Amino acid sequence: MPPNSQPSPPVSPDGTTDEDAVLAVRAGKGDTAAFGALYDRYVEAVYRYVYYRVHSDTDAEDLVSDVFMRALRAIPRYEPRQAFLAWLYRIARNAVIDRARRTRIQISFEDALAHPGVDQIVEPDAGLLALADKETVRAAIARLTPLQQEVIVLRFVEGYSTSEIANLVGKREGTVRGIQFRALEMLRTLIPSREALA
Amino acid sequence: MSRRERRGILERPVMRKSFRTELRSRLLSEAAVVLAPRPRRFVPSWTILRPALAVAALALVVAWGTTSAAAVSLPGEPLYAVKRASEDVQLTLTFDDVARMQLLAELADRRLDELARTAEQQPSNAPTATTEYADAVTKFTNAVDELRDADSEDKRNAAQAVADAAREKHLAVLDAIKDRVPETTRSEIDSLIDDEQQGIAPSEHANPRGRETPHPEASTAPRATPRATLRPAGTPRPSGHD
Repeated sequence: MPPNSQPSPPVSPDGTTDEDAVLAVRAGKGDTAAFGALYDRYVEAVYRYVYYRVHSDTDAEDLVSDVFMRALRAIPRYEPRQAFLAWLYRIARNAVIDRARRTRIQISFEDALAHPGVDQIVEPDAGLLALADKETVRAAIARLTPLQQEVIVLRFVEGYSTSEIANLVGKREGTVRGIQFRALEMLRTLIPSREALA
Repeated sequence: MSRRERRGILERPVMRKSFRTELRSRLLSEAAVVLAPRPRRFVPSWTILRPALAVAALALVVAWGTTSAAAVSLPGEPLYAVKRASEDVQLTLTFDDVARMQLLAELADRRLDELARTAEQQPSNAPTATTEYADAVTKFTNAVDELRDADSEDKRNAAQAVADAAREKHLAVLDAIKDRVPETTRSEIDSLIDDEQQGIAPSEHANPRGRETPHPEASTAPRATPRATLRPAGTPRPSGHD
C-alpha cells in the first residue's frame, strides 16, 4: 500500500464483512436473531482479544459480557460504512480501558524488578512467545501499553496481517509495525529465554 | 509467515462453553427489550416550526426595537412610558438600600440629561422634563435621608458621598441649561438650583408627574414643609423632616 493512501475497509479473516454489516443493520432494527448470529460469530474473538489484557479468566469473561452489552445498546447507531469487526474491537478496546481505570491496576516498580528474567536479554524473535509458559506470557503482555497489547493479540493470537491490523485499529501499516516492534522488544525484557531459565 | 503460523505463536484461549451459552441467553433477553421498537416522539415539522420561528423572530425584533427606541426617548414622547416602566421594574427588584440609593442617583442623572436634551431639542416639553427631574431628585433625596439615619457608618458615608457628587453635578448642569428653556420653565429651574444649593428637596414646588405645570409665579410660593436632602456634608438636618 502506498504510504499516503487511505486504508481499505477492514475485512475479517473469513471475508464476512458484508454479511456482518447486513446482520448488524438488521439487529439495529430489532432483529434479536441477527444479534445472536453476530454474537456466535465473534464472541470467541472478543474473548481472545481481552484474555491477554487482564489478569484472570474471570476478568476476561466479565469484559466479554460488558463488550456485548455495550454493542447491544450501540447497535441501533451502527454505520455499515465501518466493518463490524473493527467496530466491535473498538468497543472492546474502550471496555478494557474503562475497566483499567475503574480497578486502577498499577504495576509497581518493585513488582517489575521481582519478575523473573526482567534483566535478561533473549532472542530477538517472536518465537519467545511460543516458548515461554502461558502465565508468563500473559503477565508480560498485560504490562504492555493498551495499543501494544492490541497489536500483539491481533497478530499472534488472531493471526491478522499487519495490513489487516492497521485497518482494525485505524493506524497506518508503518505505525503498526513500529508498535509491534516495540512491543516485542518489551516482551524480550519481560519474558526469560528458555536458556536463561535452564 | 502465514496466518496459520502466526496464529500458533500465542495460545488461543477458549472460553467456557457454559459461560458462552449463559451470556448468549442473557444478551438475547436483553436485546428483546433494548432493540424493541419505541413509539416515536412527536417532533414538530418544519412546516409548523417555520411560521412559529418567524413570529418569534418578529416579536424579538419589535421588542428589541421598542426597547432601543424607548431608551433614547424624551419626556412627552410616546415611548417614554416604556422607558419609565422598565426603570420602575428595575427599582422594584433592587432590595439593598445602598444599591437602591445609587440606582435612584443614576435615574436622577438620567432625568437631568433628558432635561438638558429636551431644552435643546424640544423646548416645549421642558416643563414635563423638569417635573420628571424634580420627581427623581425627590425620590433620590428621600433615599439619601433614610441612609443618613442608618446604624451603619458605612451606609451613612456612602449616602453622603453619593449626595455630594450628585449635588455638584446637578448644579452645574442646571446652571448650564436654565437659559435654554422657555421663560415659563426658567423660574422652576432657578428654584431647583436654589434647592440644590440649600440642600432641600424639590418636592414642594415641582409638579408631580402627570399634572399640569403650574404658572411660573406659583413656583415662587414659600415652601410649606421643606425637607432637607442633598444638603452639603456636615450641615444639620432640618427639624421639619420628622
